[in-house]
Amino acid sequence: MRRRGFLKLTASLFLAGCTDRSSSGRGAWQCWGTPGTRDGSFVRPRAIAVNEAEVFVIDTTGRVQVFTEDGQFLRLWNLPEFQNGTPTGITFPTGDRIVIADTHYSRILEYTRDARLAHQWGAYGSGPDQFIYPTDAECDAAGNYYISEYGQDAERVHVFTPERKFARQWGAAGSATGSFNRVMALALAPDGRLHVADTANHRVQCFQCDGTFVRTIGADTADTSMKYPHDLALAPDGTLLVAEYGAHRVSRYRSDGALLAAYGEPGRGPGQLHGPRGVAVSPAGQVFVADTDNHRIQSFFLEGPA
Amino acid sequence: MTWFPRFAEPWMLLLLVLLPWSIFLGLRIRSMSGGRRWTAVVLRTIILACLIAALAGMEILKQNDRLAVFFLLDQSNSVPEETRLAAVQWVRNYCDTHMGSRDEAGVIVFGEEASVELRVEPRLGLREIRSYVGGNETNLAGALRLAMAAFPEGYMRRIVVFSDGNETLGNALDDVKSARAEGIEVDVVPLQTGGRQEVRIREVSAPSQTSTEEPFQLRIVVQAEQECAGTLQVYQRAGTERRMVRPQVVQLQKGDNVFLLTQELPRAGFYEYEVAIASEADTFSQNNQGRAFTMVEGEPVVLCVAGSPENGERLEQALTAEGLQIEHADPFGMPNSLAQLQNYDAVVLSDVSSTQLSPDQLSILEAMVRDLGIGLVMIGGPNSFGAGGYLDTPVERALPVDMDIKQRKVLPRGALVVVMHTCEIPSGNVWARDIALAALNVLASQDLMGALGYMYDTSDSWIFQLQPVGDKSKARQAIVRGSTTIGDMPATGPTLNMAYKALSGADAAVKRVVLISDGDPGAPPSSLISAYASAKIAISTVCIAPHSASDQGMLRTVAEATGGNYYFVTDPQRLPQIFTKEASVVKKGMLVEEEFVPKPLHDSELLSGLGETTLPALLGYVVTSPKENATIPLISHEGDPVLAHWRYGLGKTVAFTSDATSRWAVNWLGWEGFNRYWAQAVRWALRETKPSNVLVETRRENGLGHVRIDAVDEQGQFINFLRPKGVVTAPNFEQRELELVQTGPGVYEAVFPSRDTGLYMMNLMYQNEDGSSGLLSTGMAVDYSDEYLYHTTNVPLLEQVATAGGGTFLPETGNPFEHTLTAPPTVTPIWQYLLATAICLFPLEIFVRRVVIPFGWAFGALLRFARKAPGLRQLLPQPALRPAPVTGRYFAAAPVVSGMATAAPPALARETFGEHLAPGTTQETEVAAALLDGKADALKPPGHTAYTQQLFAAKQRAKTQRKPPDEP
Repeated sequence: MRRRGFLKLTASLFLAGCTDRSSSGRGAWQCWGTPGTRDGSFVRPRAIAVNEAEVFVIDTTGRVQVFTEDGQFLRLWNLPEFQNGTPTGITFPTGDRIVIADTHYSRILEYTRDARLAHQWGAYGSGPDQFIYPTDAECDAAGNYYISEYGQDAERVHVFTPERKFARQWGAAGSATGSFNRVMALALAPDGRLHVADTANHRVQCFQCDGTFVRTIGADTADTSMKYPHDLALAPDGTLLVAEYGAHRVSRYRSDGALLAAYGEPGRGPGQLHGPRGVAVSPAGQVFVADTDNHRIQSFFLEGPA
Repeated sequence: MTWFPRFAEPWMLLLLVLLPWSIFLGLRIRSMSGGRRWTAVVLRTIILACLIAALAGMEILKQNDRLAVFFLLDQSNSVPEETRLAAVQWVRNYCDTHMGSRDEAGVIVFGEEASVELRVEPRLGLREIRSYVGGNETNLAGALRLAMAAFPEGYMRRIVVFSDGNETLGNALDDVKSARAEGIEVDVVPLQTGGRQEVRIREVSAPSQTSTEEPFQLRIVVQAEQECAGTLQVYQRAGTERRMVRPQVVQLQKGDNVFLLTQELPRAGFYEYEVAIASEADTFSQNNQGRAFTMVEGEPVVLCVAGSPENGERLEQALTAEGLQIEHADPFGMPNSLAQLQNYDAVVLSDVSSTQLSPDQLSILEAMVRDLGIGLVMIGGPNSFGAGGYLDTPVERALPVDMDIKQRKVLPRGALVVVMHTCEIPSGNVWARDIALAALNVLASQDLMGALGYMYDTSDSWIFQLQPVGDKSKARQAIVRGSTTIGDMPATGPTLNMAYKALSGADAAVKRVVLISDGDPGAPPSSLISAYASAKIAISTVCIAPHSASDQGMLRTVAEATGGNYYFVTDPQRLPQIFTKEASVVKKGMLVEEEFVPKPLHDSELLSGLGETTLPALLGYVVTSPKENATIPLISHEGDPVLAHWRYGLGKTVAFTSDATSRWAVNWLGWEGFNRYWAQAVRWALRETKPSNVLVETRRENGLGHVRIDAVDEQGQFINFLRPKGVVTAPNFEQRELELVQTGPGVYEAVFPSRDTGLYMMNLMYQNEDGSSGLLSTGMAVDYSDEYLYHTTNVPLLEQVATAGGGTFLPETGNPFEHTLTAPPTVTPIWQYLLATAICLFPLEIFVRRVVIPFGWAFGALLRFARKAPGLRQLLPQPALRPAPVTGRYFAAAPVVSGMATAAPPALARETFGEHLAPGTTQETEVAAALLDGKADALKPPGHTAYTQQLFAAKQRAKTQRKPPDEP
């Protein structure tokens, strides 16, 4: 026994020496949902958001399911269409609204909290006010919409006025700073900085609201690198949570780009993730992860402010 | 839940008789104290019992009292949608009303296929049906099999079928019987259908054979569920031509409406009539058409299909000049049914690539030769034979040459990398495997191949590193294993970069990448695409199931920028063919472009009258290998076949590996023998038919096709003992032998299964008494699934299902959760645990028998110490603290301690050890002293130390006692 303990200790020290990312949050994970189409079950959940103690999850069957923060199923509604593919982003602007980027139907859906479709806007195309694949939406305090988009050479962030009129856009296809390759998610900080998940360039780019580039997160050194970031969420302390589809984990970065922690490891057990495509965080610091290829939601609490 | 044991080999329990014997033996051992002996006996008995139970194969049976119910919901089109919704509500009501804490329920939906909508769980949670199973068929049998497999183990099991009973696939009764045999009860809820407006074509018939300018009647039967008006349209198709006979507004009565149209056909050929009915009062359009066929005897017709117009032009002129009747088509316009090909007697393919034809057309070409006797002539070019992707196609099987050219010594090697992102189509990873294997099949051992994908565990990585494919077994294994974990690729850049790095360093003449995707991963960087273009490595892209039209853009751009091909595929069936073609591109070594004069090899009627020395030179050809039984009249300067022919099935095929255009055959175009050469080749391949005087009739009843021959000779006499036989080719091109039995004077009949929708082509041969033979061709169309034929609930079938399943017709107020069934016990073998117990107890038993632990001494020492301790002595009640006799019955006498103050030592020793001590000896004194010192337990009684000595002493005593009285 003593020898085994010694070996374990040596192995852990060796592994710890190889990487700066120590997997945190183990043992404190809560897990809910089974594969299927029953209420509370999921088929590859893709989009997740939390608002007013309710967790909203959209899976590939086109259902918007609502849960309490401890995973109790509350209600659901169906999206108008889902055969082409399902939304990848949900956001909650001020007021009684839920904004859904209906990615594969090139449009934005706006629901009221009682699941009534209030607005549906956007059309297919590569024009300034059109979308190929709108992937995520964010709204600032003034009510402006920020919409991320990818598609054939359409790698950009759109800004629309509160009246849903096109205001401006930035971004182009490529790997240079300010260019994108498959923009999958946005996260708008209270100070007005917009984080953009530049998925296939394996980085998050940070901009001012007017499109001025601020910094890149995740591509500086091998230690802080990320692999196919698919979704972003801002914790109450201002740290950025990144759901890494390719690395099967959720990483936590400080606003200056320093890596703080990584949660989860590849696998199917509790605390293990398989192709996570969505992450959300509550004001109390509870993180919800759409553990997509495990067909479930997992949640854990952040350990404290950075 | 109840438990009870069971033995797999109960006769082994006879060994239990050993137990009393073992106990008896154990108790007889007098060398141990009572406690030790009993412990040893108990342990040994347990060990023995465990071993015997293990040998008897002991198992524990658990009997569950939980009930699992699967609701099977019919989603086929014969059930009206409102009825389907009502069934869902019905299921919910059952669960809400009757489902208890020991019940679980799940839902399976079925149509063309069956799918588990909800697994069996303690709560149903059914809102609406989300699985798509296709409504064109009713596959109740499939659903029953799925339910049987999906039930949890060890539960009481019940299936409740909600259906109209109009089964069109499989045989549910067989599966219900299997379910019943497994203890599953099958209850039925009949779904009511009918009451819908419906018009359908029930029958279209025409005489199987007729002659030019002989009028005949086309009979059409339209069935209507109600009185209504409709438009009847009749089309006539001959070969690739289709024309409308006439539209007709008709008034339909309830029931069958018969229409007779008189037709007269001026030209020979195989004619197909398509009939369609349109009406306002109709629910399903699927059953609004029907077809019939008729054959008009006449001169042979040849169909010329050319890959490009210039390939066919000169050839068609030559054949027409030689008196053959020619029709021409481009590859996309080639007939795609056997019925349409019946119009021709031979088909000529001139430089047509396999990818210009659909998989069905490739199968039809083979079936047409094999089953209908229609000739096939393939003429070469850069897109034909192996270079056209015909390797491992049905057409290759029919041709007299093989596309595999392993026998050649030197061929430039090619390198191919496939990049696979297929997970977004149904069974995507199975397709990934099949297409990679299809590409692998084309390559020769010296060629290089690699496969890339986005893997769940290792992200962008090689499934099979670029390397020579060798005997292909390693590559095949890697592809089969690796394709199971291909995930959703976020970007194409990383994999294309890996492919570029590997290919740019590879030693190969032709390099290529094939990328298959739905088009939504990120585009590769433009610098990488430029690198591909400058290294002349083409990327061919295949777009399948894109989320939107824009997804095609990225793939098309990549292909165009690197000189590759772009394919947009809607039917995955085409994928292997595309990959075969793309893999063939790296095999441009199959083309030999050198001037040569074809050399004669075998004598052949195809070259008769052309003179061996007069053949002009050719400028190139496609390399092939001759098949074993083929005739090879001409070979190239390198010994490869140039002209080959053979018989295949009922027909004949010819292969000419050079071409008939100015590319390779410029010297032939001006040669005077050109027309004759090609006319002889095509005439040799023509179908051998003879006019016959028998009539064939086909009809369909209850899923079976019926074929009937009426044979009457010119004098009106029945022709008997014909023994006709032949083959029927099903819509999937599978063949089935037909043996027609004589059922009356001049009447011969046979039946064949015809469940599938599509065309059944029949080719029948017969032999007259005079030895002459005849060939008959006809067809039967099944235009729509039986799903659209039924209009009422099939109550008898549902009754049979309920009876065979041991269940009933469940009323709305019924209870599907009644615990009236018996759960199959779950069996857990426990012999291994018994064996482990015996093994663990065995050392313990030895320990108890062999090791004497001086508990008494230790306890005594402790007691003495306690008594000496100040203050403690008073607390200890003296009599209670007396140490119990410890190590054997020799010390059992209480006076050892209690009498120590008064008894004289020797007397005490004698009392204790009895006869073992000789009175008045020093031994007696020593023992007594020891006893008084409290060391009694350390002493061994005399004789106990040496058991043999003890025995010896006893023997001596016995001897003394038995001294004969007469001794002095």
